[in-house]
Amino acid sequence: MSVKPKSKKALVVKNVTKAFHDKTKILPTWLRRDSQKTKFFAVNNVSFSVKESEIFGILGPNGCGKSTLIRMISTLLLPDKGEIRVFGFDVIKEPEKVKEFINRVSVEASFFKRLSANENLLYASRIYGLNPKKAKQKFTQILKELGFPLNKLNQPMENFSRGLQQKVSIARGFLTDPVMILLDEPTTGLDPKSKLDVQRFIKKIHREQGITILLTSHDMEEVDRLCHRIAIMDKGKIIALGTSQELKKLVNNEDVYVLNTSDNQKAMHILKQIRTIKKLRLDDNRISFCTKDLDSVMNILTTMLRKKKIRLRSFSQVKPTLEDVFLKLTGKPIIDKECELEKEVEF
Amino acid sequence: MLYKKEKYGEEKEKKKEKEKRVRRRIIQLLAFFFRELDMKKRSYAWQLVWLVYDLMWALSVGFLGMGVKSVTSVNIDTQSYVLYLLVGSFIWTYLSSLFYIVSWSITWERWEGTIEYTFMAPVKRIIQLVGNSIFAILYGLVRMIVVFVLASVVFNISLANVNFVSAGVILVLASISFIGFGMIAAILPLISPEFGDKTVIMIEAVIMTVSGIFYPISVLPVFVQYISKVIPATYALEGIRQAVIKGADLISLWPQIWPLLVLGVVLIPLGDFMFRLAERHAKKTGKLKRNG
Repeated sequence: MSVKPKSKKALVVKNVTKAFHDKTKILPTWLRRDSQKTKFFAVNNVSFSVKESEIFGILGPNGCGKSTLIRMISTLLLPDKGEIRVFGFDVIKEPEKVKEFINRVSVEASFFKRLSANENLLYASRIYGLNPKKAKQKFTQILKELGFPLNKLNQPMENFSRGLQQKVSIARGFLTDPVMILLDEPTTGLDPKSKLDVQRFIKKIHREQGITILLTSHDMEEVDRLCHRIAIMDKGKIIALGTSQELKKLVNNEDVYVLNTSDNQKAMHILKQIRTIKKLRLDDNRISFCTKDLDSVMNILTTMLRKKKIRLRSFSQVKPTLEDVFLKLTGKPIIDKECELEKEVEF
Repeated sequence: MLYKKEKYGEEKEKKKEKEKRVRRRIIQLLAFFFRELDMKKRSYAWQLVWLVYDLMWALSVGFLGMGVKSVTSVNIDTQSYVLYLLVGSFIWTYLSSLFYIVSWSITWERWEGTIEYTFMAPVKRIIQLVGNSIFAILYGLVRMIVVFVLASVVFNISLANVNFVSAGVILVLASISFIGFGMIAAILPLISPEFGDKTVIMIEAVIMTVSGIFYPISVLPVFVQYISKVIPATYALEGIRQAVIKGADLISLWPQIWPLLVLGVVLIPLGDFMFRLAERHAKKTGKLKRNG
């Protein structure tokens, strides 16, 4: 790559806003009185930064603005307001330089469907000015690692399953050795085995090359497993940002424990007497409580249970998930509830 | 001495960098050429269909010329008239295929959804359009030559009078200005994904009518003749007809050459400029995403 980075920060997004107009209105915007009403903010005053070699996740439901944000970073969409810099280069003023650093894998694996995987990937490598022979060696290696059957390399892509197309799409993204890769829901629609192959590959590439990764997803486990830091997006805004641990603390600052005994009613009576226990509840035949002093609670509890001849059947700590974080912050689950924005803003 | 050595090293480095850049651009240009070639190879049956269609069209036009005498009972030079019509048919076969490939390149990419990937790559638009155009020229030439050879055999066309140099020069100049025209047409799907591709087809139909493929433009209404004068095909058809039928040399073809030169010089940079404007508009309004 001939362009040298201007900044140590891989990505800086500052107060970025992007709105679209409702395409169902026939009159142009400037003739409409209600132009404000038909304007939808796909991304609304978003700011964050990504460090070099970091895996940064953006978690949010469909239509919350993740893909719009990715498109703006990849120079395909111009922000209405704000500033985006990739390794110090402005995506609006210096798009040609930004393009040298990035590549993208999107949720729709778009290809020339009549062409084979080989022809599509050779085209993708040539437009980046790569030597076709070297590029072929490279994408063959990537496809092999992703578990792509190499005997299908010369078949038209229209015959491929969604999983196979997505693997070719991932090979296209990594083929150009990008310094930063934008992965826009790369595993959506993949079977569990393919999903695992892709996640393993992402981890391996990150470990070996220290590549900066921006990953968007509505798969909480994936984001939790892969990302160093996570931003949670809803209705075009970032509503929380931090490490997985930091975000989970937003749900509950205290540790939550669950237990089941041979006589839960009596056990409840015992637990009520322990002062350090909070939020004591009995539901679905299990007792849950919060405490910051587990050792003393357990001492008292085991002694008392033994005395009353109550058997402790199970005891475990409950860890909050990112789903709980999202639910707490937005009041709705992340999956299967598409926010209104996407239905209306199909630009 | 040390300073000289350092300077020499710097120059060498600069030269290497320049060579690398040129090599990279050539590879990028070839990307579009090979992509088009691969697409045609994968749809070889359709290419055969279009070739047969072009040939049948040329033959129909030729027979139309041969039948004029018996339909009108007017004594005309049938051989010259057939050649006049056939040249129009051949040149239109070539120019329309050139226009189609260049102007539809964006529409195809939008349909396939690959446009975002192409626009995200660090490749200059002019390289993309030139790469497409080189393929379009070669593909159009092959199609035209095959039809020309077969039709020549059927109508026993004599090539004794043909000035190949003049015809070749006019064809090259016409190709350049027609590519510029195609570049301007290619932006329409970026401005309006719904109506852009349809407008391109209409533009092609208008060019066909006003440029005089089968008749001199003097038979057109006066206001239409003004439109004809800014269409490169008008000069290409007139110039190549003179080179093929009368064997005209380059000097006598100057009235056709200079407008083609001017149109080429104006249309190519204009096409590039307008393309960049349209790309910016599409990026502002989010029109790159929609497929089809």
